[in-house]
Amino acid sequence: MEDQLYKEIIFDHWQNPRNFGVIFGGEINVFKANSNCGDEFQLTGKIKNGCIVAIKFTGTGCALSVACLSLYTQMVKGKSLNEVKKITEKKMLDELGIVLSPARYSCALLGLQLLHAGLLKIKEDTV
Amino acid sequence: MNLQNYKSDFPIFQKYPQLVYLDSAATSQKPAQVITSVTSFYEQHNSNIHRGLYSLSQNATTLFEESRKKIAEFIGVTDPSEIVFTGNTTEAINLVAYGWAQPFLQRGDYIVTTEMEHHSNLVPWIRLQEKKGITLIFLPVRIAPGKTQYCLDYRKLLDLNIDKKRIKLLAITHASNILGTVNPVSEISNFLKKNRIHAKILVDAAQSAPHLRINVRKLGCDFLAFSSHKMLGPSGVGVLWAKRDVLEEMEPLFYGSHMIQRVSKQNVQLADIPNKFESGTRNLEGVIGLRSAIDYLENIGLETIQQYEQQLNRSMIDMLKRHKNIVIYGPESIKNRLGVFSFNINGIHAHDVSEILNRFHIAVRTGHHCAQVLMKKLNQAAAIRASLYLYNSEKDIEQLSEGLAITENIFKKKM
Repeated sequence: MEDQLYKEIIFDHWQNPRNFGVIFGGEINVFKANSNCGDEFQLTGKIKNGCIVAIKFTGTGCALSVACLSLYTQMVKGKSLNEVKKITEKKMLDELGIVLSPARYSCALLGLQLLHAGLLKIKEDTV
Repeated sequence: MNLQNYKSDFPIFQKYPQLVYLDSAATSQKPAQVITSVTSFYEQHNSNIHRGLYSLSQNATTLFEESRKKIAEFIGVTDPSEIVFTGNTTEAINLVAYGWAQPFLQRGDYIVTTEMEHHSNLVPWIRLQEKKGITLIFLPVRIAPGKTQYCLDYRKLLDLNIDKKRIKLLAITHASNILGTVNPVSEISNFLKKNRIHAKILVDAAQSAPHLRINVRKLGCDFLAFSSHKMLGPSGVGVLWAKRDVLEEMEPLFYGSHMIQRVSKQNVQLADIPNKFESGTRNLEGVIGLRSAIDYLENIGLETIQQYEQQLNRSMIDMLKRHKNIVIYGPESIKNRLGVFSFNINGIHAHDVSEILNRFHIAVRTGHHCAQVLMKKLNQAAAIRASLYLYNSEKDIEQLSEGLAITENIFKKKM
């Protein structure tokens, strides 16, 4: 029986993360370190006509955080900012379909939190 | 030697018989005796202390001050007034930072610390460096393989081209909460004296007090800080010891009730030590619980516990070394080390390891363990930490071994 947390899809995205790298000169550029566990990631990306046209992540962390960042960047790439905002934490967790303890939510949701922080930063910078 | 039967003194292991608790460096489990002492205080003695003239209050005061005396004796102190109760080790160290260092050190003075400090004995000094212009010097931890790997290179102090007379404080951990290394504090104290460095010495004994016999005279220190909750006592109680004349000079951090002799609209006359530092109601039941914890430890005998732990420590190191993909961050000798073992499995993040271990009821800690400077020196973002106490057993180590093997199997198949 497949592991309820470390599913094949998680292992796949951990070993072969999609959108891994850095985009220079884009509107999205945000860094977060999870002080509890040592995960550190940077999210960079470009926005054009209200859509995320390019997005990448880089950093180090647990298998879950790497895999979920990979999955999340796949989820949001090409989407409008309005569509991205509709991806709530609950929807993200449902989409992942993995059984998580509350202590691991921050690993799974790091990408979502990073992007929201990145978008907020853009809003603050343009005000 | 088998202390297996002492596990039954700890109710949590009756509630969770499968629990393999390997996180005593974070907090210890509590024996029934300590739990009972806390509830008994509430049921039979509960009253505020020091000012009530009625019997219940006088009894509570006696219990509290007898606990202070017992705690003083535990660390080789004859004057109980030299024991100040805080909330934890962090608060005790902050009391030294802001009650002694801040008022008495000058811009250009030096505070020496080490690369292996817990943030509680690091961040206060970094902030003082920022706010007061004192210079913080770090004694390095040796990383290169060899007999002295993971030991403190304290002799480097002599290589520094600074006015040694301006070194005012050495703030040092007695034992590292990541490496398990026990620092030779009395040797270092003698070294400072021999080299005419008249710095005061603050010892963070949070990790060592639960396991080693502490005697402040033998250590040669001027301040000692430790926590109740890591040594079978309740949380919310910390201890700062300092010599009487130093405490009398120091400024309190909190002002209010109990720490005054006279108050008028114009001025305040502060109370004597230790009351000067104990404003507001202390954690009364916690102090009584700490006393009970000390009684429990001394009833078994600290030396007996230490011998047993060394046996377990040997087994733990041997076990970790059998796992070829595991890297240990700490001495492989049981000499001069506590039962604190930090390690990683190559290619698997610490957090993922602890997730799998939790499925087998194995409780370990992962992350940077509140010592980011040391983790950076080790070049690790995170590590797994397993720590032992008198309620652990060889079986716990075997189960950890099995859990680590299963974790490797799960992940290695996918790598």
